[in-house]
Amino acid sequence: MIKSINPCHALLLAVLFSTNAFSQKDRPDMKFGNVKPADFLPQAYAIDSSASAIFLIDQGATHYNGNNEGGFDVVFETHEKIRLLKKTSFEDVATVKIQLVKTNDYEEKLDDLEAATFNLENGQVVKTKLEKSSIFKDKDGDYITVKFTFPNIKEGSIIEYKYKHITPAFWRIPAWTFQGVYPRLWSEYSVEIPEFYDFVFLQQGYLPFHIDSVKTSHDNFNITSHGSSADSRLSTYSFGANTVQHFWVVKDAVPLKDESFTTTLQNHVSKIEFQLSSIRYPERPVEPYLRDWYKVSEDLMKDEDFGEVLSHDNNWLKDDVKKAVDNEKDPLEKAKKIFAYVRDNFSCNDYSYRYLSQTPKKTLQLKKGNVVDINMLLAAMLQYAGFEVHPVLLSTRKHGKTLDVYPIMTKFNYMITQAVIGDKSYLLDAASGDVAFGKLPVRCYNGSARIIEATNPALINLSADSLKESRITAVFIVNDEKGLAGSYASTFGHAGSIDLRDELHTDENKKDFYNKEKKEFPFEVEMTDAVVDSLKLMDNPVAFKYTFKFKPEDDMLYLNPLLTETTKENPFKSAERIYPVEMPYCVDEVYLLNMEIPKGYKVEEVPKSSRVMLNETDGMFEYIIAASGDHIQLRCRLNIKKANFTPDDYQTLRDFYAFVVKKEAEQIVFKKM
Amino acid sequence: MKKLLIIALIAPLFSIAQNYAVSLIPDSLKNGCDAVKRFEELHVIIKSPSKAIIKHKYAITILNKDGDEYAAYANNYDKLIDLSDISGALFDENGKKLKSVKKRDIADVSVDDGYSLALDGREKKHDFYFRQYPYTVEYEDEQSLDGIYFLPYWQPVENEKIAVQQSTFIVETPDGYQLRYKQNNYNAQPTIVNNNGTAYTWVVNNLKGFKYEPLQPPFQEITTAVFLGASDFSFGGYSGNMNTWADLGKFQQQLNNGRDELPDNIKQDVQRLTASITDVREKVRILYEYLQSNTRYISIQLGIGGWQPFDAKYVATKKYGDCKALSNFMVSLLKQAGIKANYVLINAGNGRKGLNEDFPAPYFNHVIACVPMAKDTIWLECTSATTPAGYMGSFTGNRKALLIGDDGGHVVNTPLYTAEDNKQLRKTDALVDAEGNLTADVNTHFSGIQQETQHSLIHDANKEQRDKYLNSVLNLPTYTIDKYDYKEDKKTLPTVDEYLHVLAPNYASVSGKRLFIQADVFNKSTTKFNTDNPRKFDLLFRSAYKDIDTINITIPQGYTAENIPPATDIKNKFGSYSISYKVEVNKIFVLRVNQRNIGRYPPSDFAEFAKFYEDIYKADRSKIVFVKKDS
Repeated sequence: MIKSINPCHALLLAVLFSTNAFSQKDRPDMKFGNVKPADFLPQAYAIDSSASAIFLIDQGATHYNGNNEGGFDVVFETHEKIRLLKKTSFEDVATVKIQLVKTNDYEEKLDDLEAATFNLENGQVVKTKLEKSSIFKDKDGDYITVKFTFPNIKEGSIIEYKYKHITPAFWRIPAWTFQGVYPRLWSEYSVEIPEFYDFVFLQQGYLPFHIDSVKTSHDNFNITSHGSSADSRLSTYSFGANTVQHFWVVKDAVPLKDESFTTTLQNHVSKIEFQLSSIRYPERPVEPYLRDWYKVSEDLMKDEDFGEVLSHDNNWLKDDVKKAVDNEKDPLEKAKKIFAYVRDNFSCNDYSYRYLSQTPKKTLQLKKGNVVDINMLLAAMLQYAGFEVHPVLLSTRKHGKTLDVYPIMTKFNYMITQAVIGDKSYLLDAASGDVAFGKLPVRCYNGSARIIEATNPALINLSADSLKESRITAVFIVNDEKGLAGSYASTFGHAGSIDLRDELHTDENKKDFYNKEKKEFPFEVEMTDAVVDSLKLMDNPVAFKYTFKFKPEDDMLYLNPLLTETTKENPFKSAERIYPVEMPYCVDEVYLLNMEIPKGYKVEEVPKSSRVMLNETDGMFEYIIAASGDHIQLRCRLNIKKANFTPDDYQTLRDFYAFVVKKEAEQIVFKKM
Repeated sequence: MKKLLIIALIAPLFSIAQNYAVSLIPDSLKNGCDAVKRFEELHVIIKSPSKAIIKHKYAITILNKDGDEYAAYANNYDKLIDLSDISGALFDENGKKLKSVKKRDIADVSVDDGYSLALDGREKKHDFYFRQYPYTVEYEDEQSLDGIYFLPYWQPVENEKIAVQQSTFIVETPDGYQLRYKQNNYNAQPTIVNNNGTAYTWVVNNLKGFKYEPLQPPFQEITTAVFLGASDFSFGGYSGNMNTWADLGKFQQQLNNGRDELPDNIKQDVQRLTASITDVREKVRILYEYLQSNTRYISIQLGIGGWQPFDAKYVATKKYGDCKALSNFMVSLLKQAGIKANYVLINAGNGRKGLNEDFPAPYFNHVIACVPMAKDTIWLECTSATTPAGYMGSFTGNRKALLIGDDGGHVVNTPLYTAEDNKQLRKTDALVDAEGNLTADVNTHFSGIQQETQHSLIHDANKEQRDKYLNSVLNLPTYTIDKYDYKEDKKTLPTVDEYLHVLAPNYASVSGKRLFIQADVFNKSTTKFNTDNPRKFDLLFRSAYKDIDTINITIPQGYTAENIPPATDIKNKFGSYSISYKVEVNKIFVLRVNQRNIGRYPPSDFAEFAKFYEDIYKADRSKIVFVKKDS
């Protein structure tokens, strides 16, 4: 069964299931170094007989500790025990890298690192410990990477390590992923949260929990804090508090395979994430932490790393806005000019960000910035020119899904600008260089986006199902004195146009593109007058045109009427699929051919016309061909009306494409008279 | 000559106030290029065998988006190289300065080569991220070398599609210091000035960019380059001389000295494994397999440790090491067994060239081991856990390398693999049903370089990767491989036997009463060469091979052949190709033989070469057409 994202409040869970859950019979012994000769017996494991490594234990635990800074540390302990079966796994699992952050006022610590390799030699378990001198540290800016590799490993070895990662950030409980690249026999995570923190749990994936339990407990905390001046003494508070202990186990977690048409596996892998929702310290009013979208929007618009610039008059934009507008009076044209000015003069160096990286003034000066820098500057310029604007936050397809209900900022990584012009509103992205006014790149179509406006933080539907990619290709072929002469013209849709603009920015690239097309012909052609239109005119679709000549000579002439436009491969290769198909857009491709029958030949055979539907209403493929008089006409249309399909539809979709591939391979046969 | 000298000397003065207006670039340099290097001065000042300063200043105009990568600045430093005085500026199309590099904008990051566990290399980087074309960036920096074992080389054209307006290379040496250099594609001698030391100057003006041509010779052979070789040098606390390969070898010998001591338990292992064996080859194989099953490759490169192996004891306890440590360990194991073996420096990599015999210099990136025998030599790749003893293949075969002997270095040749060595013999038995679906049993015998892919499929891939690879590698629209099997024979010339069971739905297209089928199912050439532009460079074919395909296909009853493609048979200096078809009732028989020789051919041969591939491409795709008998 498919479990959808299933957030629930910690407290609610605590009331519903306060059972004792930690004494499970089948739980493996978690003691470090508990390796027995029998552990080396299996040559392969039932879960996946060909796996090159198996996680025997994959254990995580998070709890809170009072610290010396007057607050709480989050202590994350992890413990992995892995059987190495084949050398191919060594590089992945036998070298461990742990990343820590250290700045002036924030320091993560690594503690109690222990690692060892176990081998079976003459019936005895031999332990080789990791030496301190073999642990390397690499510092890069605020990041420290601690690295080590296990000594003395071979196929069959068991490696084991554990460590504590201590973070002085009470609001951050590390997420846990139950499913990885290698099979895991037992993956468990326990989280103990003091009663004064409420967390929202976000759970996803397709693997069932073997254990999913909660119990209440009690713990003592010691918090030490420095006084306000140098001579004041340290003061320590000790107190007891109730805690809620959660425990999740997934048994026999097999890896998730990456298939075609997947936004990101991160949307589908079994995991649990945590988001602090409110704080209830003793004798203090409840303090909401996870706010609603009204509050978040209000704060974001006051945040100087986000929308604060839009609350000023921004006279420093005067010259640039004037230059961009160039005396245009019509409001829509004016907005378009400002948009083009920002798009064409500013470069984006980071397409995955949710805050400004510099002041908008700096962006204007450097002419570069991340996606937020650029689209916020666009918003400021449009606002300066008198338009109503709002920042809009979203998550790109590769970054994963957002949650409509909870304003969890880490789920967002992209900003676009909404502009209201007259009674219409437009969504604008000036950071993606090849996109027209009012259009968005394909990566933005990932469900929904959020308008950041304190009074009305509305959702905007940006489902891939709403993005239509239309393409029309027309081919005419006539007899001339030397054989057959054809003309080809294809007008691309939104996504196709963006891709071609990106690909064909030099003459060399264009030449390569033409040559590739020429190679696509199933027979030798002479290709002339190739041109790609509207590469620089972003508001128009890109069109590719050329003429071609060929000369039939054989007694039998076999011709695929789709020429270079055949669908050669079924994109759905796997026989099965357990998670949804997420195509980037809906497809509507039309191919038209009108050809004269080659002089001196007659039609021997033409393919049959046919039409198939995809789930009655989800799509359609038609192939209508007719030979009449001295002409052959073909109309071939592939229309997929939605982009997202459930796993239940997978087989139908795969069969549909198999039919398309087969039909498009058929040929017309001409015979010399 | 005198005039040239003056220009060379005053060029650095002019560089202070360069005019970077794009209009000053001749059109002939801009044509087909992504970037034009406007000016460059690479200045190497050798102060002593232990000290050198490298001053580098250059300006490059970026013409379009593809050139952006050249606008970014990056240079390395580590324990033995200091990097300082980085400055730079950005100019617009008219040569107007827009901004300068600010110190805080220079990123300082650790180098991650993607495979080393520990490295001490770091990198400073900068990028203006300017994107209004054309624009120009100018950068300047200074490196200080602690030891001159490695000296920089000058190669003004760094890549395809870059032109160079002007570039100067100046090398200064102290009085009496012997500098060696090797010039490629530089049709003059350097200007040499002796004045309290010696200054050598090379200059190029207006070098046009070029476009990559398939099968072109190595980049350094086709563009202007000057390589330097030290004579006396010191490095990481050691000193040496590299005027000859023998001397360079002596230096390495010094680094390796005393690092072959094995702990007792390993000595006992060697004794246990080899005492009862008399044949030397067998002993080598056993000890090599002992190395392979007991150690693994982990790269750790710190300071002089980038060039000096960890000693044998280190490998014995950790059971891992890099190419140096593992090769040294292997040599030590063999020594313990009474077999004389050597440490060998090599430039590894598929398609790479070995050392230049006439120019001793340390252009190596890898170490192997070898056992010289009376008639031949056993070569050992010590970083691989699976390669058979004696096999070098495409990674280290067919090139010159430096063997480190007790008496210094010796240039040696690694094994060459011929077309007869690199074979692929394939037998295909296929059945096509009435729908056009194809089912095939494919048995293939691979040897030499042609078995390398299969070797790594067996050893380096897990089942999922193998399934994924096999289900994407065949040049068929839709297919599945539902069964497969591999058998390998670990000989000096290794072989792999592969069995595949392939299902390809709709392979033959059934269209009305006709059935179309490409009878060459699994070995269609995918290469075509573009002949629109005249060929500039030689064609270099580095690896020979021979493929023989025998294909039997059974189709449904009731069809007669309407069209059978003619046989093709081509023989030329590049190799040979033949394919022939035969149809008997409902059976198709195909024989295809395709052989390529190692060779280097002048540009004038390109038309014939391209035609050869064109013909093969076409012949491989010929379709047999069957038509249903009227019933």
